[in-house]
Amino acid sequence: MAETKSRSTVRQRSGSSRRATIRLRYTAVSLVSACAFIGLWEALAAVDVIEAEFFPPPSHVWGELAKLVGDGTLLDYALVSARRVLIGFMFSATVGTALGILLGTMRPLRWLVQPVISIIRPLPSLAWIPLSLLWLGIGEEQKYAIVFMGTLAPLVVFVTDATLRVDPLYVRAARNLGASHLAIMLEIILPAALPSIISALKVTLALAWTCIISAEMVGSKDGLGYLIWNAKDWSNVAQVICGMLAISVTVLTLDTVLRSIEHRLVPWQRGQRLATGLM
Amino acid sequence: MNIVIRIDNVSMEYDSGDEVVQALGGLTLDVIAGEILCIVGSSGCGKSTLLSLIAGFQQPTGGRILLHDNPISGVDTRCGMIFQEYALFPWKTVQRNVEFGLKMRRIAPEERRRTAQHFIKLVGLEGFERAYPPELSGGMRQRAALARSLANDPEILLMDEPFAAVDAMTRQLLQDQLIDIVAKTRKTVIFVTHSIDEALILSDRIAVFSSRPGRVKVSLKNDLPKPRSAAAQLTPRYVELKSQIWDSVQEEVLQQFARMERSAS
Repeated sequence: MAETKSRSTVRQRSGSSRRATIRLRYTAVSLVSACAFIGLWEALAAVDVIEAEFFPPPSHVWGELAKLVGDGTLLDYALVSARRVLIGFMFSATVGTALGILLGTMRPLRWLVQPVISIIRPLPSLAWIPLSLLWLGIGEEQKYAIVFMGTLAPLVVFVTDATLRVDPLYVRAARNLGASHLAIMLEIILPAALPSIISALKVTLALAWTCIISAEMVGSKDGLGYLIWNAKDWSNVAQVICGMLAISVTVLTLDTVLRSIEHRLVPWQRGQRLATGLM
Repeated sequence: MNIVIRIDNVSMEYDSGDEVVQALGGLTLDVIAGEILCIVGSSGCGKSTLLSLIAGFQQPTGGRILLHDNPISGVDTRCGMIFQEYALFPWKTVQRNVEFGLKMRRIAPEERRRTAQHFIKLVGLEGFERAYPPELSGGMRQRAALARSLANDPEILLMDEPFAAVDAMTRQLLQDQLIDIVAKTRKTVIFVTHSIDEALILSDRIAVFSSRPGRVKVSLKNDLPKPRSAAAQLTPRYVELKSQIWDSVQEEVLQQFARMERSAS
């Protein structure tokens, strides 16, 4: 036993150094590719193949970016949008996860709620914008509401599915050891479904961003959606591109933060991940 | 003789979608306190169904099962189940898995920890308390599952082909360990297996099941002297018992084949 344990650590170490080399190469190639793309873009603009008025060159965008970062607008707006997404998404994640687990474990409730869900689910999340404006105006509540409405139904469906896919063997084992219905939900179903629930949250978080950017375009005085919509009205293409870049960077940052939380939430998967990583 | 479980004319039917399967038919069997009863039979003879009925996961469609003269009406922690697939919770460490039953009974954390430690030591898994099940070998997982069940102090251990998924060497070690642990903890064990050798090494008594619908075809006392080391498998008595069991199992297997051919043609 001791022998197999130490051997696996050795393999793990050489595996991780090999992975580091691969990552380094990957980063180098990515950098080259990005620089080449930007260089080509600048060059094409310089020889007037693309018109700077419709598609400003990187140098122009860079100037605009420096201005927006310099006066704090960009960071402010990014924080405003991120805050709206996170608050709205917190509501929908809490309600959606709880409701999904309940629906997955209680068949009568599933039959009762499923018809409503199946009518709401096909709606693209943007279809909620008019209703949310009529109900709540253009304040912050409307922003949270649009995220909530736009992500709840798909999240409930994902989580219900994840719950239904939990191996009934675990439930049997837990009942055999004296677990109550509530204990089975909290101690068995929730952790067993957690990896799939987290994937569901990641997918719906992307939806939440779609919702908020669109909602800010339609009715808002700040946020990244407002920034690019407003810039469009002034035909400031460079600012539109800056705004789009900012959205991309904000979403990526949030994703990275969430991924590190995920690793901490599902520590038991480290063995499986190691095993598949070695294959 | 103190009878713990009385299985009285039990039958079990279930709907498999396109036909009604009769898994057990008129099964009668008593389980005596402190014995290791091995149930042997060809696959599909209803061995596992019987364990699931005793554990209270399902109710028999006919007859009754009594635990200390009271019918089993639901899941009862007095009957601890050991599954072939271990059924350890992969999101909990070995320590937390073993503590699970105690936690469900609201035992204080300190006592929980101590009891779990005792049984982890008993099955020889010290040093692996903080490992997660996916990091353990098959044999180690089954020992952790055994510790988890024992920590909840069941009166009866229901073991459903628990060593079928581990390699032959490990299986032999696990068998020795099980005999040792059962002697120390004085549990009653119902052990389902399709290996006649396993039954002869472990059991005090062997019940051979007929093919579907399952009934007890032959019940015999295993009088081989203990401890049953590898040498015991070479004694004339061992060979005699083995061929006796094999004869009745073979008859059932052949009957099952004949039935399958009939239904195929």
